[in-house]
Amino acid sequence: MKRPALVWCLTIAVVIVAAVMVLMTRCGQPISGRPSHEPEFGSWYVEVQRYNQGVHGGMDCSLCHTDIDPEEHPDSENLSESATDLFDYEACASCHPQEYEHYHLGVHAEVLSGTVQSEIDYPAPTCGHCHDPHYRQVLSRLQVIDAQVDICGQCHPSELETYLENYHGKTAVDLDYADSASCADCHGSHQVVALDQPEKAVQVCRKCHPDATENMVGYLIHAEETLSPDADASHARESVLLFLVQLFFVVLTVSVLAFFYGHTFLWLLRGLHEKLRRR
Amino acid sequence: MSETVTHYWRLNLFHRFIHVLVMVSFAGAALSGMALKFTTAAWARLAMQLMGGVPGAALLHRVCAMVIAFYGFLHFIYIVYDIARHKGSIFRGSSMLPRPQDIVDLWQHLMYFLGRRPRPQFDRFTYWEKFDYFAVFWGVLMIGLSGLVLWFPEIATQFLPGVAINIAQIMHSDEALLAVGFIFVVHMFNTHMRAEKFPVDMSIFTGKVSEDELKKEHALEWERMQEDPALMEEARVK
Repeated sequence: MKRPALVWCLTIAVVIVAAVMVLMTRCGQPISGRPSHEPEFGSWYVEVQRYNQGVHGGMDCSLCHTDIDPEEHPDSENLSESATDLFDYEACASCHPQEYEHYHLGVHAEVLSGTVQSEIDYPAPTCGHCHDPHYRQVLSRLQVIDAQVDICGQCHPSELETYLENYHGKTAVDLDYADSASCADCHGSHQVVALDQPEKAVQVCRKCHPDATENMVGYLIHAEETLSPDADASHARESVLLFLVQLFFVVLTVSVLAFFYGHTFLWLLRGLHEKLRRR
Repeated sequence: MSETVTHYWRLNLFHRFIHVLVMVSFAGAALSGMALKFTTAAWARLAMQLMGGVPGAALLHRVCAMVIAFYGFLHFIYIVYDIARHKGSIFRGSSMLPRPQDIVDLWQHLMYFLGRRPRPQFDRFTYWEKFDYFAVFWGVLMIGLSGLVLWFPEIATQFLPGVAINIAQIMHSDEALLAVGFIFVVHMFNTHMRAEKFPVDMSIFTGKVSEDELKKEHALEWERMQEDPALMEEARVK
């Protein structure tokens, strides 16, 4: 046997394995540089050049700003408030009637009208909170997914976090797999729904999983493994169950590895000791 | 190799063939699986790209899963054959089954590491080899069954509640991390890296061990062979 070659091969193999393990410990640190899609909320300032490059570019201001008389500059008493909040989005309906109608059937509109109570501190979003009216570009599917992560995640951070831990989020967001499901694929974009009714949820699953059963709805996409029941009251029992399962496997993994790593380390020391003593 | 060194068969062709299947399928399943587990890490994204993106990695993972199911099935048949060949006695000294002596061996081996006593003598299969074997057994069952739930969630939820998919994800992912952390460190070290074996123990590929090695590593088996010349003759590499 050609020992030197083997020594080299094995040394390289060990270095590669060690490097992979070191890299693994660095997991969970997202790579920076992903483009941000945060809309410029609230600003009164419009960059005309960028406006003209966007999807609405070239349209006359007064088409949307119907309440503003072009002859007379409006007074500035509202400038301390958010332009995004103040705009009357009924203007959107003249070109986007279907989206406008669907929005009013969704849970965001219900929160605004007061028929549904929300636990979230922010006011429910309207058109301009998700769609930047002045600079919106035509986005690819992956860019739309990234935009949803940024925009939906601002008001729903724990749903975002659990989505990114789920295989749908991992593949769509981290691995740029466009066939995977994003926020709006399940919850709708204009007619936004909470999916707390199983019979509605199963219809959504069947968009990609045609054979989905009623039971499959019980799968938690936004799974929280926690002992605190108030994290997500509707799934408190499942959360505790998942926490206990997770705990069992973590204890098993850590104890087996700790024992055998120690066993192996002591063996290494003993082996070296004997080999050196024999010389 | 010198002509005068006598070698003995330790592993038959079936054992070695199964080990190659285990090795290759484990490497493929581990690489594609870990790349999905650690998607936020740069190396995982690179590995994913090299495997042809998400669809490519998924295909590799499932082909490896089928190889694992295949060798699991072959091994099951082999166990039945082995029991029949030894007329039901699977509790013999050379058996892979754990027995109380393994606990004693482990304790004595640890004491040997600490320099408190001489090296214990082992039979055909040592306690760490048995642990490796049953770790694969346990791993294939746990990861395989949870993997089936993840592969066919629509079928699985016909008789399981939906939260079973969440449990299967935890099981599959944590057990896989345990397997990777064990195989690439503990198993690799115990077979190749320790001072007596470094840099490589080829017996898993050749099936043979030298007389010296047999005497040192599996002294009890060597003694048994001494008492039974037929066994000795059968095992000797001609």
